[in-house]
Amino acid sequence: MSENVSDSEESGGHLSTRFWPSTFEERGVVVPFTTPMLAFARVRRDRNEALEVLVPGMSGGAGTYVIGWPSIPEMFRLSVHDRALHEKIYEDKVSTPRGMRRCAQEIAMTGLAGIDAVESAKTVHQDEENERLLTNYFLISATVEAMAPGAAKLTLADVTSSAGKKKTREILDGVASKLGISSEQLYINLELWSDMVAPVGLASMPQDCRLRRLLKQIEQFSGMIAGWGARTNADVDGYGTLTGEVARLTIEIAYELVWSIDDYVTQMPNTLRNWKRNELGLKELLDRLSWVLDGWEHVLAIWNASAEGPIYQQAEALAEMVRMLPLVPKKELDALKSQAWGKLENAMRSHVRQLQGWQTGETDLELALRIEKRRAAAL
Amino acid sequence: MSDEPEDKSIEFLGGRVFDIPEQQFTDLVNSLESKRQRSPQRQKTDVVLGYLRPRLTVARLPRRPTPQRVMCMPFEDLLYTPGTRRKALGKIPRHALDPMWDLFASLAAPDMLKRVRDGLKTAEPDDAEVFEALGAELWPAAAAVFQAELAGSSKTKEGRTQLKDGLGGQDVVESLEEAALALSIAGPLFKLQQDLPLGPVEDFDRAQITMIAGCLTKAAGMNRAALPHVVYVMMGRLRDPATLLTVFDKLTEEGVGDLLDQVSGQVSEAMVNQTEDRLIDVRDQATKEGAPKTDVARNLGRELKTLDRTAIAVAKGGRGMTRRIERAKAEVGRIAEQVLVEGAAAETVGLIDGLDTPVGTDAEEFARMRAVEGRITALRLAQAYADEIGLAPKIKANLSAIQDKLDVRGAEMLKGLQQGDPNISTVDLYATVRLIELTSGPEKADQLRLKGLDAMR
Repeated sequence: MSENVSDSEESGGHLSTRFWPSTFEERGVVVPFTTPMLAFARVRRDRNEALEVLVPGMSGGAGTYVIGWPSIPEMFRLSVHDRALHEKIYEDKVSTPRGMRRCAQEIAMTGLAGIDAVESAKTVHQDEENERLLTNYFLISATVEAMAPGAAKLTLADVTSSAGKKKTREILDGVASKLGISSEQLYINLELWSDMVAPVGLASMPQDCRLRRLLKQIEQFSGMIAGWGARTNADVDGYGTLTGEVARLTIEIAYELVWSIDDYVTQMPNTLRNWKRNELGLKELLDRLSWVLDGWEHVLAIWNASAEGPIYQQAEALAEMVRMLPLVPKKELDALKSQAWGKLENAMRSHVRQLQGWQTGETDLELALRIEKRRAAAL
Repeated sequence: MSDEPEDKSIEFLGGRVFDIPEQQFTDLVNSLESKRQRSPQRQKTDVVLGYLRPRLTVARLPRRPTPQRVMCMPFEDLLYTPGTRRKALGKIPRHALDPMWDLFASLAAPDMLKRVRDGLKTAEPDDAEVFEALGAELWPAAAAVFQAELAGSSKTKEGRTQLKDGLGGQDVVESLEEAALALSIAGPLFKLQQDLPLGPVEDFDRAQITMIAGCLTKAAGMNRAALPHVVYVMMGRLRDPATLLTVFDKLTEEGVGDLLDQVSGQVSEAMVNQTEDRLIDVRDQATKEGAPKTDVARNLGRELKTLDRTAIAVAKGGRGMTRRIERAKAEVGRIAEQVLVEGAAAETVGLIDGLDTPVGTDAEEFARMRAVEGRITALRLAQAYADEIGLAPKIKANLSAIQDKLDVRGAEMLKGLQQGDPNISTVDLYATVRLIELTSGPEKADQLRLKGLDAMR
């Protein structure tokens, strides 16, 4: 890593003035801390695979502080929720969006960040379980449709009733024999596949699963925020335009990934025939998608919390959002897109200013409660 | 009382107004506007539009133009929706609009109204040029009708009573006076409203200051008595009333200082009067049954900040003004004491005891935990401004009593855990940790968490 490092390294951290990371791993994962000073923090692994945290704008400047993970409780006055989350992340060595999500939900269930967080975590858990089951059903249906065209269409009842299960098993036995694999292996492969893609779901599903839903929310937000400045005369800093542009470019990249994930269903026989190879390909695409979208729930939660507020609150929310905007790393982009993102990086560098009241180190109850609410909404 | 179940659907719509996609929202507003034209449905559609108002304000969605709306355009920034029937200086309650329009429509020349109606048929909802052209005829006519009515009725007691009864209340008569003044300088006022950014904004830039100065000069040439209305428009757009001081300084540099000197007393009076008026709604909302205490604590805190800023803005207005602001602060203190502080400790301790009673559902468990959290959080939020309203010792005493209760609860829980009491769960432990954190801070709370977890191992 070629970061500008200051003398502060000796005092437990160092200052990086880079905005645009090369890889997702360098960018790090958003940590849903509720302590205001760590509200924009990300975690990543250092060269020695140890965890370190990135804290932007700690002294009000444009740089990012890089601090060893174990030092956090000594350097910041953490809420109890954040102490528990810090321990859990350390224990599980979490540094991916998927791992962070699991960790955040587990700690949210304790109630240490309030009842909203418990309720959200429970709802999200239930939704994810439903999405996993539905994805499984639609994947089996798609398999039957593609590989046993003569067979009758499966219904949800077929998956739950014993007669239906028997019928499904018979059809899938036929599919397995066509593929030259055991029925048992086909079931395992379909289960692995559906578990893996459940966060995105299938294009044929009547209801969107989490990441597809998030993508649509970003798309809606991008369209809305583009006209916000013109409607309100309040986008003097250009934050609305900047945020809208980052959202638009993120959507472009994310949709390409979603379509590639959907292609595996379109190419059903080939996918199942070469499952071992395709499983790896799918996993890579899903990992990339969750990295591309990592942090957007939090960005949207900031906006949603101020959407009903007066214009100045929306302008303040945008200033916060710019701090959190997840830039897609350089290495993930082709040359053409890199140019557009390079411009955005420059724009962010000149735009980001100190957020009043966030960096004082004082525990502001009002601010902490506001962050707790947003974190619950972003679970 | 009606036996019909209360229809909550409109309130629900109000809560989700920002979730409606842009296009559907536009369609919904357009459809309501059409319905509103058909008088039997007017009251209902006005209620629904009231719920949509927060988004209408933010979206700046052009509304369907009608002659009544064109008449109101010059004083649009003065409109407000008080919780009870009343009027503040420099403001016009929305409920006064229909009686004022009915009065004008009954006395205005039918040809003129027809020309305006016809002109609006082909107008786009945001066509300022058309409104300005039509208003050039409509606004002076409305001003003349209102002034004549006010002048005619003011001569005798019977006349005054007749006008008041005809319009439906003294608040509407006062609104009529306000509207007559605004309409007498409608041209420059309308232009200014179009040119200024949608509020609330932090400040005006140099170009906007020049426009305001131009508006003041033009308005002074038309009707000096109406000059405060130019300032009321500015007040409506600024986030912080104290900014008005720097705006006045900048306007003085633009050469309109003498005009401002003439209106400063009236503007200060309006600011203080609006503050006092707002407190009626603040009290009403705070004392409403079931109003969340944390929201009350937050609102009172915001209100105090506004009062401080207003005090700075009206400081030149003399001790009388400052005293009125102090009285308003004392009223905030009384509301805080009544709603947030009185009996807080006893109630919270009771709620904490109630946490141990078994409940049937998650929802019940969440509700009672929320109630305790809400009580403690409200006290902590109020603590931030307790010194200002003289409640610091009382809030401290309440929090201490709650702390004592939680300390005992934490100690007993720990003892139980160490003795392997099967009735104490991690949920109980974390709930107590959370309440201790809210009351006493994270350090003490985390000690209980760590000791509790140790005991469970």
